[in-house]
Amino acid sequence: MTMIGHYWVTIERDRCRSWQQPWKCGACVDACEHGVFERDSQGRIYVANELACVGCKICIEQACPNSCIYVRPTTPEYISRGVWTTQTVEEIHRKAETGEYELRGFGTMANIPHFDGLVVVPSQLAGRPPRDKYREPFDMEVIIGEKTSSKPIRLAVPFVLAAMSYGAISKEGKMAYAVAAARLGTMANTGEGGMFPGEAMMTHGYDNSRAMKKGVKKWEPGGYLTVQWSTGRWGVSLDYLVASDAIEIKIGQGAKPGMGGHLLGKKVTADIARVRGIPVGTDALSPCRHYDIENAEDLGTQVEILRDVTNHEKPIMFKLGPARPYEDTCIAAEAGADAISIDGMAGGTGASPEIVTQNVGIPTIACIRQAARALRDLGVKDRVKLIALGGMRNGADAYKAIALGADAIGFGAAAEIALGCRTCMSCHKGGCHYGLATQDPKFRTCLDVESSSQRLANFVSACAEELKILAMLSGHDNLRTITMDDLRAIDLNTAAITGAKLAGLERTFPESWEKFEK
Amino acid sequence: MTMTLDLLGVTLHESNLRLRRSAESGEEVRVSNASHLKGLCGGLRKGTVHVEGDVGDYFGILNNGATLVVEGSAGRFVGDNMTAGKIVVRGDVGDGAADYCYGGTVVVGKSAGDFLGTMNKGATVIISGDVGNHAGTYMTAGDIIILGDAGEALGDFIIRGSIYVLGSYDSLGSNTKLEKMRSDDIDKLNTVLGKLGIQANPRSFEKVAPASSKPFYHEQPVVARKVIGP
Repeated sequence: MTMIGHYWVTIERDRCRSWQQPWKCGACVDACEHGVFERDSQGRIYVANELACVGCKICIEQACPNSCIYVRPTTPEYISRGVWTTQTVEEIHRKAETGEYELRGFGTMANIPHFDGLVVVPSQLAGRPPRDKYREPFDMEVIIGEKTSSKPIRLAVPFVLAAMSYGAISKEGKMAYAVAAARLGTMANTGEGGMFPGEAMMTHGYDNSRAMKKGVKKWEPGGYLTVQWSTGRWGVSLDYLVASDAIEIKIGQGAKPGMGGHLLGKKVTADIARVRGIPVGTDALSPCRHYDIENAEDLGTQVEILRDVTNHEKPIMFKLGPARPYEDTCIAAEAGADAISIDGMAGGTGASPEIVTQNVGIPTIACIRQAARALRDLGVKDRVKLIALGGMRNGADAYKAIALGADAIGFGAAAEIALGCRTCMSCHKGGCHYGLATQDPKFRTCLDVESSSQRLANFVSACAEELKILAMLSGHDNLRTITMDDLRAIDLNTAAITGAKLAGLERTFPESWEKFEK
Repeated sequence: MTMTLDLLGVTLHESNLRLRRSAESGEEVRVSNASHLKGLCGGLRKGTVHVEGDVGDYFGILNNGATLVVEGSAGRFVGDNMTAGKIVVRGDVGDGAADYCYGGTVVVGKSAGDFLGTMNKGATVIISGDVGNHAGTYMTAGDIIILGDAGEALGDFIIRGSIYVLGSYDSLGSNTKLEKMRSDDIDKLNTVLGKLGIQANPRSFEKVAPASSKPFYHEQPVVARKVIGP
C-alpha cells in the first residue's frame, strides 16, 4: 500500500510560537525528515506537504514545545495500517518502558460473536399464534432448588444480578444491588469478598434489624442473597453461609477463566482488609482453584457438606467460566448443583490482565447451547437451572439466551452501567467517580443508594418487559417453551457456533448440528 | 454427661444433626465408626465431640466454636474454613489440613501432609510431627508451629503471620525471609506449647515471615526511559 495520503497534519495556529513571534522556534521544520513543515515569507510555519507525512510523530513527541501539532490518520487505522495500529504500537512501547503487562477492569473489548448475529422469529400463520403482550398473562417465574431445598428461590423475573465482591465495589454500590434485588424480587450475589453487615437484611427488603423483627419490608417484594464459596474464601464463615439464601461455588468467571479474583491494594482499605482478613493495601489475589477440592468427587462432597451445614435449606449453585461448557456443566450437575451460572467470554471483571480478558474464553452465545445440551443429556434440564451471563444488555439478549437453553440470565456490566458506570475500564484503579468501583470516601458519597437502586430496578423491569414482548410475539405464554426454533442466525459464524438455523436457508449450518437435537 | 453415638452406616446429615442437637444441650459426645463420613462435625457452634478411631476428609469443616478430639488419624482438609474452636487429632492428618481458617486452633499429634494451613487467615496450627511440602502457602495471618521437619516451599507467598519450625526444612517458598525470634514470639510459643503440655525450647525454633506484603503488583514499575530521538 502506498504511503501517500495517510495522515492529516494540523498546526494549531493560536498556540504555535511562530504565529505569535515570526521566525521563532521552527523545531518541527528541523525535526521532520520529510519536509512536511515549511515557513512562509513572513516566518510563520505551515503544513506545506501533508502527503509526505509518514506518521512517525517525531514533530509531536520530541519537537513541538507547545504540543500544538496534530497527526491523525485519514482512514480508519484498521484499513490503512492492518495490525499495526497506534494502539498496538503504543502498547509495545509501554511494555518496553515498564516491563509490565497491562491490567485493567471491565471486560473484553475484543470483537467476538455476540447475540447481534441472531434474530427472533415472530409468529404469523404457521406455528403458534402470537399472544397479546398488553392483555394476556405471561409467566416468567424461575424456581431454583425446588426439589432439593426446603427454602427454594423464586425469582419474580428471570434476571439475576451477577456476582461482584465487596472490595471491587463500594459499600454503597453493594447496597444499591441489595436494594434493587429487593425491589425486583430477584437475586443479588455477594461475590467473593464476604458480606458487609446488613447485606442479607437489605436484600430481603428490610432497612434495619428492628424492621426485620417486626416483618416490615421497606422494599417490596424482597429478594434473595447468594453468597459465593470461592477460591479465596474471603469473609467465609458459618454465619455467612447461614445468613444467605443460596450458595454459589465459584469455579471461574468469563473475564478471566482459569484465574482467581483480583483486588488490587489501592482498594484494600481498612474495612475491606477487616472483612477479608488481609493487611491494608495488599493485593487480594485469589487462588485460581480451590485448595480443598482436588477432583470431581471432592466437589460432590463439598456440595453435600454445604447442604448439611445449612440444613438443606438453600440451593447450591455453581459459577463456571467459559472453557469446555458441555463437560464442565456435566461435572457441575453431577456434583449436585441446583443451578449453574455459565459466564461467557464477554463477562466483566474489576481487574484482570488485559491479555486474558481479550483472548481467553468462549463467546457467551457458544457456551449456552452446549451447557443446556449437557443438562438435557443428563436428564436434569428441568431440575438444574441454567443461568447465562456475559455481556447481556437487554431483553433481546435475554430472549436469545433463553432460546439457546438458559432458564435465567444475569446482568453484571449492564447493572453497573444502570448504576452510573461509563465503562472507562479503570475499575482496578479504585478512582471511580460514580462511586461504584472505588473505596475512596470522596467518591463513595456520589452514589445515592435509594435512587441508584431504583435506576437498576427500572432497568431490569424494562428488560423484563422487552423479554415479554419478544416472547409473546413469538407465541409463548411462558419462558420454558422458547426453543432454538424461535431463533435464526443472520450470518454463517453465528449459525455455525450456535446451531441456530440460518435465515433464508431454514436449516442448521453445518448440518451436523442436527444430531444434537435428537 | 456423656452420650455415645455409633455412626456405622449413618449418613452425613443425620450424623451431624445428632451432633448439633447434643451440642445444643451441652452434652459431651463420644463417636465411633465415623471413618466413612466426609464432613463430620461440620458447622458446629459449641460442644465437645470425641471421636474414637479415624475420621474421613473435611472433618470439622466450618467449625465455629466446638472442641473436637480425634483419637486416630484424619483424612484431608481437617478443620477447613474454621472460624473458632479447637480440633485435636492425635494421629496423622492428610493434605490440606487447616486450610482457609479465620480462627481457632488445630493440633496434630503426629505428622501432616502437603499444603498445611493454606491461606490461613488467623488460626493457630500446631503440628507435633513433620509436615509435607507447601505448608502455609499464601498465609495472610495466624501462626503455624511445626515441631518436626518441613518439606519444600515452606511459607510460599506468605503475606502476613508467622511459621515456626523446630526441625529442618527442604526449602523456603517465595516471598519469605527468616527472622530472629523476638521476645514476643518466645512468649507466644511458651503460652501455646505450655497449654498443650508440649516440651520444647522456644528459642530453638526458626521463624519464617513474609518478605513483602505486596509481592505481585508494584505501584511504579518504570525500568526503562522513553525513546529519545536525534
